[in-house]
Amino acid sequence: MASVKIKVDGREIAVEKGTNLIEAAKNAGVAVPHFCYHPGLPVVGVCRICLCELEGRPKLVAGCATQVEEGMHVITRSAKVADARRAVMEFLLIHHPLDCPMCDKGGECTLQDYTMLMGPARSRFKFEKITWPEEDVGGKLVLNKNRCILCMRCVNLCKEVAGLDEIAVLSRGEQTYIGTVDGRKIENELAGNIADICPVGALTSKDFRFRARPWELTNVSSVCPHCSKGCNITVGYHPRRNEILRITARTNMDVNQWWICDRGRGGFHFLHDPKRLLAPARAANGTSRPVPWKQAILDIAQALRDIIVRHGARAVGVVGSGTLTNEECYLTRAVFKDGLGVSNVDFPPRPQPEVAYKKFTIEGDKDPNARGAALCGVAPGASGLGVRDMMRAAAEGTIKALVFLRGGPLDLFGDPAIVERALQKVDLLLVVDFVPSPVSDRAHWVLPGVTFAEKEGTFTNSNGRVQRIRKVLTIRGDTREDWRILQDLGQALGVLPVTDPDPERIFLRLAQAVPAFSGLSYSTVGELGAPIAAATADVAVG
Amino acid sequence: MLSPEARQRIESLKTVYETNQSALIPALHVAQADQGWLSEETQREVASILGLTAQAVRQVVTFYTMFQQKPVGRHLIQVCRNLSCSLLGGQKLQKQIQDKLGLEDGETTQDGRFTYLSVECLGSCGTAPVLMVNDRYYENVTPQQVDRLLEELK
Repeated sequence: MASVKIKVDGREIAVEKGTNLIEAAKNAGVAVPHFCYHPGLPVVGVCRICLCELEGRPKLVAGCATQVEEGMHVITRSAKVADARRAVMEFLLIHHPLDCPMCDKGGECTLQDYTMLMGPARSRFKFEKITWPEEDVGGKLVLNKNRCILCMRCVNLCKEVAGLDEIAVLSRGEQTYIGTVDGRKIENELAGNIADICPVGALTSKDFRFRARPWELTNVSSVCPHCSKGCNITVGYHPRRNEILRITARTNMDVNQWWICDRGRGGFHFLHDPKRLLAPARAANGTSRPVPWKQAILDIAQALRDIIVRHGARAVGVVGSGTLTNEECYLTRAVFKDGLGVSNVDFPPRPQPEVAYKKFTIEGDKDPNARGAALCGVAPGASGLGVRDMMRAAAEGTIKALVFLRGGPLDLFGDPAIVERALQKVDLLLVVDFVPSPVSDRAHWVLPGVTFAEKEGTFTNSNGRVQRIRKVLTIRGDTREDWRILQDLGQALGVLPVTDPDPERIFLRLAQAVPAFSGLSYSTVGELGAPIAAATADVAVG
Repeated sequence: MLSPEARQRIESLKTVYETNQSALIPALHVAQADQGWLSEETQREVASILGLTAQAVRQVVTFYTMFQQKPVGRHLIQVCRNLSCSLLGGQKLQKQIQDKLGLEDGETTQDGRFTYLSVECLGSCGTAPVLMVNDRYYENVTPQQVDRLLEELK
């Protein structure tokens, strides 16, 4: 791409041809204010706050709608620019209510920030402000038109990213407003992004509004666990309440650009499910009683050993999960396949209908780490059985012990009648999960694992990108990270000579054992992830 | 429901413009001439003939004051409320018409004879004050002319 030389406030830089002044200035370390401009949306040039001066030209130009030209000198700070921007601010604030203290956007509002930055501090408008009632527009959003500055980001997100004309600019002049038509609601599953990109408090998230002030939240980078796309997210966590209050999109141009879908955005309430499994439990004769971890691990190891001694490793079936991390999948293989010689190791696929919007696809695989699970060796070994065959074998009595690293509905693992028979018939049924399920309800042993927000680790998305999830919440009750549970079991079984104190070191071991991960570490994976080795990308090991 | 003739005319407009979006305003004029005003149902009909979304049509209908979103009387009286007309007695004309017909801005008489609207500039400042009845302009209007006009229009 050809580049041109320009000056921004006297500083010379080279930028790509076709770049607009806002992005060019950003390259020069200069922030040009903007409301309507968004790098992921078409340029509409309606807010006028990005006005810049070009040396030698009498009139100011909109930074968003003007492209760089060779030799251009862009002036973003001058009396003329400041005057123009102050005037734009005054217009934008004419009908805007002074309700920042009770507006959910307060503290992360562009209009509030710019008002503090460039004023005016007082309004000269002495007439009655236009007011509108609040409105539910669907998409889990609440519309407060009083605060709207008509930047059209919401309209263009629906139109250009979702590809659906669901919200429009209506009427004209000072009566102009945004709204839906014919009483219809916004239905696309990307609408939640509107709450992220609305520069004011006009469209706020129904799920998050009034739950906390943004400055009360600690923001942690993580990865969405709801499909194989691996969208980058920011988890907003309230430390004092030990509670996650929202999930927002985190920009990663190689994965999800600026967006996430509403399933991921709202998909954290299960973390705070009151039915969470909180202590190891042994079930016998229709009752379940808690057992201390140490005892539970020893007893389970003993029971497994007994079965292997009596019936061989072929009598054991291990059902892994594409929702567990690469580190945990690696441990699944290290403990059961490499350690105990179990070849019946597999995990059930969890397909869902793919939803392809104009510029964003919700993928057809619910598991965030199916690719990683396969690469790490959670797959049948030599003459080993897949999940469905394991259920059949257990129902027939040849498999005596079943280990589920995640439960689920019976039909996830095969014909429900066969699965039911299998679960009833085995001598040992161990389930590791964080919520009860029809599988854990039938288990002899239940060990409480944790969710994606309570542990460190990595997922490999469908495109082969390794990305980190982070521990956000303090572990509740007597639960334990799944990687810890697997290591504890491996130790008690005598098949894991060394254990690691954290997933970072497990990952290094994994990177040595699995060619696809060769050379990777948490530092090379970083904030935005790293691709697995291309040459070995599709070779599963195990 | 649009008449078959109106439908036909809108269909033929599709061949005149490069995109159907461009045919929207002429199509809405045809629909309004046919129906007297543009109900949500009429707007949806136009949208479906032109293959546009309901939103695309609504944006245009709500933007232009020449498109009526409520039923109007046989005679739609629009009086200019901008500067030149106001300086030359436009506001008095507005009050005179409203008092005589007993209408607030935007209302229609019970018998469906008149609808009164105050509007922005009608583009004829040189002959202010100006009013329009349906498609016809009345310029340099005096109070006497208004009285006569309201009598004559049946």
